[in-house]
Amino acid sequence: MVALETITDLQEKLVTEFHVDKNARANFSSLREKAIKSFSSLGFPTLRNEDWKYTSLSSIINLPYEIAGVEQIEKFDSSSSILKERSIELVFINGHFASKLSDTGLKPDGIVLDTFSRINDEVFSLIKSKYGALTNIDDNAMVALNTAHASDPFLVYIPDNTMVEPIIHFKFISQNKDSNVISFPRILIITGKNTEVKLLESFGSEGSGMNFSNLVSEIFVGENSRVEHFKFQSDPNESVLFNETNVVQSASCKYSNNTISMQGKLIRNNLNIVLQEEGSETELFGLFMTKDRNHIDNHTLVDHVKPNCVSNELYKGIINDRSTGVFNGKIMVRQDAQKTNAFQSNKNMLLTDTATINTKPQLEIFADDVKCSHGATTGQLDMEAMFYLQSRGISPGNAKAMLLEAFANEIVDKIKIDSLRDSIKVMLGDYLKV
Amino acid sequence: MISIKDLKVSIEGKEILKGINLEVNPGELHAIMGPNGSGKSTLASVLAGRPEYEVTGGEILYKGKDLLELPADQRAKQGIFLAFQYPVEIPGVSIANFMRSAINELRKAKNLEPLDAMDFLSEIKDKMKNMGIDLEFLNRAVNEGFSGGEKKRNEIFQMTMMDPDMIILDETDSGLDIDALKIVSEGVNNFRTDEKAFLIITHYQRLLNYIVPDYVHVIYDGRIVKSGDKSLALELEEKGYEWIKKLSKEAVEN
Repeated sequence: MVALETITDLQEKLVTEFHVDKNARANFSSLREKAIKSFSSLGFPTLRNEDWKYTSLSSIINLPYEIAGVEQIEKFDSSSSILKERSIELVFINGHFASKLSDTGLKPDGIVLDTFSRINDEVFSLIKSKYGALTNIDDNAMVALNTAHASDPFLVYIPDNTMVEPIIHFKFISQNKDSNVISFPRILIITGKNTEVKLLESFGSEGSGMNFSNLVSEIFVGENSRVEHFKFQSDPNESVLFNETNVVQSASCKYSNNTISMQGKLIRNNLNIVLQEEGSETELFGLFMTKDRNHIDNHTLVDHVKPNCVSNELYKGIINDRSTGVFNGKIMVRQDAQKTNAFQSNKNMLLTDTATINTKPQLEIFADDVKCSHGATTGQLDMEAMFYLQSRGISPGNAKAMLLEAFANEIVDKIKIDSLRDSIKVMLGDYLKV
Repeated sequence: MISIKDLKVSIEGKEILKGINLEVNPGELHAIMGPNGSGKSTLASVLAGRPEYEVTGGEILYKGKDLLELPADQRAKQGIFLAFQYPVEIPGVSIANFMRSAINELRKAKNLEPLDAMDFLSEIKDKMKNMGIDLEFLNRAVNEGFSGGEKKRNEIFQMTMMDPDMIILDETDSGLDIDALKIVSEGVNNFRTDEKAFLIITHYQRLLNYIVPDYVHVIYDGRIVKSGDKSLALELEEKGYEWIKKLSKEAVEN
């Protein structure tokens, strides 16, 4: 009963402390009001919710939280960067864009990188109908909560025929001063026709309390454009991340996503792709590694709406100690989507008897002329290979690290940005040696 | 070099080796022959430290010390090398990474500085050339997609890189055509010195035309039932393993 009461506490706090200034221009007040009503009636997801069957938030939402305010923006330790080259660095502290800590020096002319409250009317009219168009606030409580509390979303707008050479790096930093903080970063990315952009998200946290981030992104990929999207989720502090990314692809474009989740108390990723027009391609790669009692849950959906699209997905998990991994991947091929090629694979390695993986590949096909495959395998360390390496003098610890690195590198090697790939490999090596 | 006394070994409760006695001195090359299932490969595996096998009796002294105390990687560091009958494919681990890790662990055990990439490359190049192996081989994953001949050549190449003292070849001739057999044999012969000891496990006499043994032992049903010089291999080839089975049966009955 205690748990239930506390759940109600946080839920109630989030509802009662919700406020929106109806007079401000770009605040989407009616959307947000609708969203808070939805959250108020849905409540936090529980194990009874099919989409949350294996991921329990109860121990997280049991805690008292403060809702992240703008005033906490101060500074953060930026000494270690995973990129060598200068990037367009966008820093978010507790979900709020920190322009003073960001570096937009390399921003090409014409592209817009700013919060909704600061963009001009012309840009606002371009994006008005897009915001919230890819999210479902009626059934998805976490997204409804984000939509309600994200007071000033961030826009990346890339006009037609623009190639953005530098990487756009979102640094999501959570900070607390000995109290638990919940924050709601929200991003809208719109690319025009014939554009190219590379996006990187990284995560960090500071403070002795719990940092709970609820990050929602919407990405519109324009015709004949290329979007490469990297997520590097590695926070040695015990933080909690809910991260939903909704992507819609226009004709003849390519969206690729590479999500590497290395550390964190609890991570839930929802990655939803809609192939809305013909001739597009999607690549989804993921590597999730859990240890201690941590939990990482990856839900992906690739929705083939129109013909002649290709999707290719590979997620790999390394599950250690008493931790749990979840992979739930769904491919939907609609009736119209003839000549679809859709492939999905999930491969997991369990390192202990107490590690758990729940994997559920799903395929729903309503078209008849398609090539689709899906599958999941779960295994343990190959003892033959272990013996082979040891018979050449390699110690058991190093042999294990070599095999796990080889397993993980199939994903890491897909990263085309050299400095990012190299940094991740170094961190991966350190992580696997422990 | 190695002294095996009354060695008894089981796997999953089944006794495979039922009392093996064997002494191999530096500079000697011993061949172990025997029919399938006689325990030849078990002996090789136990010497290299494969963990599934349970030693239920006897002892193995290596350079005067108890070998059975050491885990597989320590045995390799002390100079024992096993060329596998079925070399293991390791996707995602390049030969270069594998060999450099192995060499540097060996060097560390000897209190030597690790080799950097350049030194390693110059060290490895010569040895690859001797084995007729292309440099691009270094970037391939260990044994992945290798032909039978390539796998065995890779084993012998690893042997030359690791410079062991006690070399065990487990059916290295199986799956080799005559050209590959010659290259592999040449690799072994070039490696023979007065300091190194060899144990060559083979089903067929053919390999011993190229790698000439000092001693030949025939193993059957977990015991060495006959020992001799290289002429024993020829006799065995001529009379077949039925002859050995008969000998063994007589020995048990007497």
